[in-house]
Amino acid sequence: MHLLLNTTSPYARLARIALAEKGITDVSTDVVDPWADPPRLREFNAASRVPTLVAEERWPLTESLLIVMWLERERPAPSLLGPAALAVVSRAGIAMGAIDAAVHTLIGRKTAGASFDTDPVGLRRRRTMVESLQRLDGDPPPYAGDTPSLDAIAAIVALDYIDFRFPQAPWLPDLPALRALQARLSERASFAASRPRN
Amino acid sequence: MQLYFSTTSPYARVARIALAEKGLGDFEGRLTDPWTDDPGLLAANPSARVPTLLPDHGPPLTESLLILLWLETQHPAPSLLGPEPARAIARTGVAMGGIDAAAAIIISRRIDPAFDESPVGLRRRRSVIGALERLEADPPSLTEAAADIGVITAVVLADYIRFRFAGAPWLPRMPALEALAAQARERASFSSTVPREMPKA
Repeated sequence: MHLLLNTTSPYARLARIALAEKGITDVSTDVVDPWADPPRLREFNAASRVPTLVAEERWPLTESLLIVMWLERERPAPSLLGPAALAVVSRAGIAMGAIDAAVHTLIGRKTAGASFDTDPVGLRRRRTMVESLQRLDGDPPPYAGDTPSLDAIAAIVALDYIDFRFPQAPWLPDLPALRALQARLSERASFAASRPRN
Repeated sequence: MQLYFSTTSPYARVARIALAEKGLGDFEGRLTDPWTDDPGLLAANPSARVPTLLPDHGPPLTESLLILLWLETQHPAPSLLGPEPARAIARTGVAMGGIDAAAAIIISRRIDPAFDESPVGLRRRRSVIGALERLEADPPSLTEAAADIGVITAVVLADYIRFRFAGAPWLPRMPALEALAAQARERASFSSTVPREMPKA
């Protein structure tokens, strides 16, 4: 199996952690810069985005949540949805909203410059990040020390990414419960090996 | 069950079709323009996006692909993954890449009216074209049973592109996808959700 990724994308990190937590180790990774349009990425993904997982040559898999869907079918155990799937999927959605808002802000700067952040759409994205993190902090994903479920993975991928992209942002709220979860999950190999970096 | 949706959002349409195809179509629809920050929507979803699904019991579900994941695991029959799940999931990824790029163009125009011709805008356009061409070259097929997610997302993409970009000189020809979309409209789940402008408040 072959995973095209980069070291910054939260979507790629989510897929990477999901694969590792499913115990799938025979994955060769290929670090690419999606914005440089490498042909080997575009061949498998018309949108030139990461993650792109090539399990079967004819059917490259894209979109982190579709990769999770595929994994849950191909490799049901350990489940990333756990016994309380509704609560897990609900919290995962809040976290994905925060990830999308953070990524939209970064991409918005490519077009509008730094003023994007304080444009009405930029401020709306910021509000989504703040409120989503606060929501997750008030009802944090449970983590018992074994396989983390999709909500815990997505919440900490979101928080680590926001820390990475918006260091010391004055608008970032205090998040005691999420910070505690972040510290515990950072000790897992799947999280430690995939921390966002330039 | 209640579902916040708009008549324009391709993401909401994916969820609406999937719910109907699963036999869960008798939800109460809550029509809203997400950009107006409906308090009920914002309380359920801090991103204030559609689709947002409020089950009868339990917390809200957001994100079309997570709603599909939840439906497929909690309501497995009829399956929306078809006889070749890996193939359906792969095709869904192609279509969602096109939907994301098209939706990004529409949203970015709010910030920059000239976005379409900017480098990022042209890249999004290329992603739309690439997704359409790949699906056109190998279109999913619709049978009598439940439509699979590859069909649902390909038709949602094709209809959304026609809705937002009809007549654009850069659009590729897509006769196979148009034929699939026409065939899909024979199903109530598709015909009742064809994208249209939001009704005036």
